[in-house]
Amino acid sequence: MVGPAATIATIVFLAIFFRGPLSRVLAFVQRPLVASGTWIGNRTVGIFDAATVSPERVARLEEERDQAVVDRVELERLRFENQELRSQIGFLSRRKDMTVTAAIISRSIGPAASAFVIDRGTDDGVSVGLPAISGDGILVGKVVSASPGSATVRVISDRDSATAVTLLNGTRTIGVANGISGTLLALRYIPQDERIETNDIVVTSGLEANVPDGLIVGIVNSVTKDATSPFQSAILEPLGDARRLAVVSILLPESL
Amino acid sequence: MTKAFVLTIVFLLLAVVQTSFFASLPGLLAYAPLVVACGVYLRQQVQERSGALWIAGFGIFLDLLAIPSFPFETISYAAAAIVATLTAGRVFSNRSWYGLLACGASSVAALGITRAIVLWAVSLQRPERVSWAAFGETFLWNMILLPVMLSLCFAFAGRIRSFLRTTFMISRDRETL
Repeated sequence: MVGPAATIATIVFLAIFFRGPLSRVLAFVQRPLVASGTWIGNRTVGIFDAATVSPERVARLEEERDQAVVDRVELERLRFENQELRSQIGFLSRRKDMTVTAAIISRSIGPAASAFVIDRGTDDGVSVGLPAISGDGILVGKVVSASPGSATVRVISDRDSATAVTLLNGTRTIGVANGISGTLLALRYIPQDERIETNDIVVTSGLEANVPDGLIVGIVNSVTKDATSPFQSAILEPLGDARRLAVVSILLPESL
Repeated sequence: MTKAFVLTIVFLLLAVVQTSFFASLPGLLAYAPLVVACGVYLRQQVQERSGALWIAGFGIFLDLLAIPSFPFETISYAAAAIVATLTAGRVFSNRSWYGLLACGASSVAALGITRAIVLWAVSLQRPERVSWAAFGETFLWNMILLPVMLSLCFAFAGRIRSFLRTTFMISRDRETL
């Protein structure tokens, strides 16, 4: 009993003080395991999500939806940029985002996958608070801890997560989206005079340190209005699904 | 020393397989309690005390990596390890499938009850942080999947014992079966 206990105590000591090198060694085993598990998950959508359409069709429709949202956000960005350029007679400077690509090597247990570990850490410029994105700027989560060889990302739908957002509606509603049960987000305490509709696109507002504006968060799923309350609330459906990702990108501070 | 080293390496591999492969699988498969099942099997069926250390160690592993599904998993898994040790040593027979399942169920129940107490304590300070629905779902699927995994281990008991002997995790004189 003493032998194994002493060995586990040694492992804990090593994990605390030498987490970086240990993570790099384990990452060789973890990367293919996560990739294969994610591959299986992506190909069994129809079985486990009780879908009535084929997984291929779901994947195609989701891809089309994500592309439509990306196009809409890009259009809005260009419209604002154009207005600004017209008024200031400036020149167009495209944002060059500096990112570091990271493979997911571990996840929290359960379908929500509220946190995951990536194989990049402080040695690669990753630090606490930086956003993790997928695809064309879809926000997945934020780094909550970082060591030399790895970092932990908490997804935006986790109950401990809060993201400063703005809605691409007529009044440009701003607020803070919090994780709620399952994989959804809640936007609360929105004044009644704000016009929010289902399918409004939600992006980051840029009011949060280290998180630039314009990263896609999700779309409005439902709006709750109570005539007796001064506020309304909305349920958001995030577009970044950490369960279906094996690789993410971390936006580095130099690009923000 | 060799035994301790091998037990630690196997523990790390099981923990990695659960948090990397099983956690990436869809639906209820993501709940598969691999480390707890193997720990209970080792402690109850093989009478190897390190099985309880695997269970306790997994809580530390989750908290160290900052990927726990619930707060303070070290406490919950430590409670499950204690119950596994007590029930395997003093309550249930290690010669039957029923004894193995009962020991596993007791350990998962201890894990769930301790998690509930921790969640209740957390909810006093930050109620918005606690999801009782997620807790109930996890507890339900753990209770269903653990017997399935233990039954699989029981079905391959001969091969597992052979593997444990080959890898120095048990010696012939320690075998009870």
